[in-house]
Amino acid sequence: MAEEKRVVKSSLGARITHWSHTICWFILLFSGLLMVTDWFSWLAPVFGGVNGANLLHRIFAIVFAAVPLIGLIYNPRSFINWMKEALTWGKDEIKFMMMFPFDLIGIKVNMPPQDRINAGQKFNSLFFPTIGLFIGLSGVVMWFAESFPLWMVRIAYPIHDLCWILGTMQLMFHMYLGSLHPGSGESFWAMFGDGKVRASWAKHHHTKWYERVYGEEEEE
Amino acid sequence: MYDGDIKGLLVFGSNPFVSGPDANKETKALENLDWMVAADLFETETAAFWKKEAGADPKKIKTEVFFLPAAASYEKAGTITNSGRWIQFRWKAVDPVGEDMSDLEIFNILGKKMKEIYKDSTDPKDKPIQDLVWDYPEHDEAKLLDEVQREINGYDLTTGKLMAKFADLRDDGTTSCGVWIYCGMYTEEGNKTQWRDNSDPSGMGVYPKWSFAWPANRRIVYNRCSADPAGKPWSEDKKVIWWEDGSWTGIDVPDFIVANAPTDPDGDKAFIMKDDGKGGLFAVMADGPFPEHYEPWESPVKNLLSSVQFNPVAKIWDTPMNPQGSPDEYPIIGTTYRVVEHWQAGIMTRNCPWLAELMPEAFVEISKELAKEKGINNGDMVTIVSARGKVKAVACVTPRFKPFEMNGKIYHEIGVIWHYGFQGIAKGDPANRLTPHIGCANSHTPEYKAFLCDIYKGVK
Amino acid sequence: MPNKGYLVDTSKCIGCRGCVVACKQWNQLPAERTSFKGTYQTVPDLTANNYTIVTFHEYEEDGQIKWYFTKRQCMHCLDPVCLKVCPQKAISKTDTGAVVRDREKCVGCQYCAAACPFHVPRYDKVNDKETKCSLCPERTAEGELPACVKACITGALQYGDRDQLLAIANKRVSELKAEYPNANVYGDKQAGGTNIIYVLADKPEKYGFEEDPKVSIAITAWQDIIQPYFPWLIALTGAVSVFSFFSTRLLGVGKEKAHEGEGIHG
Repeated sequence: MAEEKRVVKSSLGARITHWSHTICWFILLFSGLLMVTDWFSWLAPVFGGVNGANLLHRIFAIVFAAVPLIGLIYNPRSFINWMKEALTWGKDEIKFMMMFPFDLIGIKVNMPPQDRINAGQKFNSLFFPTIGLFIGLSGVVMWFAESFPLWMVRIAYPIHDLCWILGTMQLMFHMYLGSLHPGSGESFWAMFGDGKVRASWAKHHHTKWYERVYGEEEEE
Repeated sequence: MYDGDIKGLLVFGSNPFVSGPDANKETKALENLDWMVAADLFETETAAFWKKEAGADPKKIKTEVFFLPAAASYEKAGTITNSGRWIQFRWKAVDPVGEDMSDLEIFNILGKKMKEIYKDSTDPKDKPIQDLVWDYPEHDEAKLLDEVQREINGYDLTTGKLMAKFADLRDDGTTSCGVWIYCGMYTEEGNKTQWRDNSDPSGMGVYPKWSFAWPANRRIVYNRCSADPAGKPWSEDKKVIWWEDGSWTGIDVPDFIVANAPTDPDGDKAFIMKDDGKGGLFAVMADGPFPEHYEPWESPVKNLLSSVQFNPVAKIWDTPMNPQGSPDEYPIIGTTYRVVEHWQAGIMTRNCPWLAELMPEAFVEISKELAKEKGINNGDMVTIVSARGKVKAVACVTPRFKPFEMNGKIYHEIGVIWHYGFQGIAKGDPANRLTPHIGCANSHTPEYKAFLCDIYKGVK
Repeated sequence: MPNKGYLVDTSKCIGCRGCVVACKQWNQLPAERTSFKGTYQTVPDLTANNYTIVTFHEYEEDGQIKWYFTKRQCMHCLDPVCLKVCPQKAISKTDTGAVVRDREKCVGCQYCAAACPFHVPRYDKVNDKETKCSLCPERTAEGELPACVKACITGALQYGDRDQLLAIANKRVSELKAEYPNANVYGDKQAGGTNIIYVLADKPEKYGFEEDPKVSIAITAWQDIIQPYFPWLIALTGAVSVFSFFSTRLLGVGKEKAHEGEGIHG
């Protein structure tokens, strides 16, 4: 069998951001948990004690913030396009979201055709940058608490906590849907590898996008 | 010293650069010295008067300055005498730091050196130094202090025993005594300055066995007054001494001839130090006897309470660098005072970081009205000038200061905080550069608290 | 053990700041560089090296000058929110109700500083620790007075049982009322009551105090709602994912989906 045609779904920039953020998120999560509660004190030696965790938390917070910022400066178009995609919601997207719970538990449904990123992923694309923005801003306030007005510091703590809790929740969901959930394999490996997916898979899962970008090519 | 007559100065625990009544003049006078020996906890402004920070030109000053590090009060034993006449011993709490020595030890070494230098002199003027008995032990401060205290109390030179009371002192060369009023503080019974019995049988705060009170451990002078002419206490609650069984007795040492009965001719003359034995409402002093209001030497107003403007018997030194300012040129009333954070000329407290943190620099308090008039804002750096000198300070604009209305005219007053100099952590200009060199009629205490000045924003 | 604290009778305070120096001496806190800026209060606010300060307040009302002094430091709340927010359990109460911190456990997160309704704890950048007054538990345990109280020469500071201090404070306020009609007791109810009780000769705001300081809603929401309940959302998501993993496979959808699209190029 000839090698099947593969199409680019995730750009290099997207993949770098995705994975560096994944690593950062976990380091930040566990080093942060160490500071937030003594339930995780057994983890302390990994980070060189709570103070080590404290330091790492700050270092990786900078990395966490710097990667998308650098990306943004380097290639703002890519980000704008992504946001445009994520903000484009139509009947198909709404329908997808409504049918998604059935799909999730395995009831066979006919999903409406989706773009390069499906409605769920669009939600994700909006959700994570928002979380990132708020967790970052509240983190800055917490870090330099003495330089900010008290009311700001006081709301920064619940915001930071809310962000990591909701973020981690969504992350777990995303991890499952992006890997072990049936049918996600292609995207998963694309993220891991060269960003490409099998054209046939793309056509089925992200019909609209496939048709728009590669459709003409196929007809030739 | 200003005239160049005095060649050398020993300055121990004193800082005239800051505290002198006309500090500019005192500082100028130091330049005429051949030598100065200064001893203090930290280098004082006085000891560093020749430095550039002092405003001097080191190249032009020939004075040789020796600075000796001195032990603080907690680093040495000794006595302090309070205004209640108690001579209280204080034990050493900690050893001195580094090469610090007590003033007593410093003087001991200086004395021994001096005797050594003049040992072989044939000049008759050196004879007093050669004849001086100076046989104190060296490098043993406790023993040195003990011997000096015994010497102050005095000996019977025949028996070598310590004198028990000043009444036993003789002028025939058979007894010695350093200070007659202190005689009895260190007897064969022991060093009474170390007494620490805080019992108070009178209930009136007499404490007869807490340290020694000069003279003769008498706590209340003229205590014969506590009893009526017949020798009976005026009040049972407040009885001090009384006549009983042929002598005066009581809870205090009687300030009266013990055997002098109330019925004796002088038996009711309680004020034994007065010629007539009677108390007086007026004492003989340079001015008085009646109180009178005089204006300060420098005053912006005419004396409205008396036809005489200024105290005619006050001491005014009519010398250079002590000019009198006129209200036309210096219309503002100036005064000086202290803050609780600093002590006197400040060399101890201005070097203490915790106190310097609380009162870090010199300031001047002025009213809101004057501040408005002069365009001064709270916290501005200002300059205060008098006929004698000028100082910089931070302005503290406060409603606590108010202009006076006198004889239908408004007069402003400012208050300059004293204490400061260029050494230590907390720094500032000495306020006494502004004050005049005049003394009160009786004690010659300088008139620090009233002078004329002007104030303006900025430093120039 | 009864709650112990001290009374700050501002009507007896002369602003000498002996308490400040005694505190710094006992806790061996270094001095900070300051400057005179037109007020005797040369240390403007609490710092990591100043667990207590004396504040100076000057007013001119109806031709009368009022110069109020008061001491500021940790109030030692009966129900301290700092203790609640501390993630490392570094803050605790002694058996006499003093709110103390364990320097070893503190990680310098500064949560307590933000949560405190009196805004007391201060961050020590050098050591990455939060600092505040601890009511000298090492002294009081030995029967000694707290350093500041020991140093007070006018009797403005008085250490004792909270109940007794409150009685003294109320009596003192009733005495002061004639001359100071706004005199009040502060600390009896504020922030749920504190172990430091004040006699104020005038309204709290005249001393730089909030009339009724409360724990911020943001802090309450954070501590009472977000932290205890929201992490369960993560667990819930995990559970849904596990459920989905099995249900999709049991219902066979997975199998079908996995091969979807293959037919096109099959």
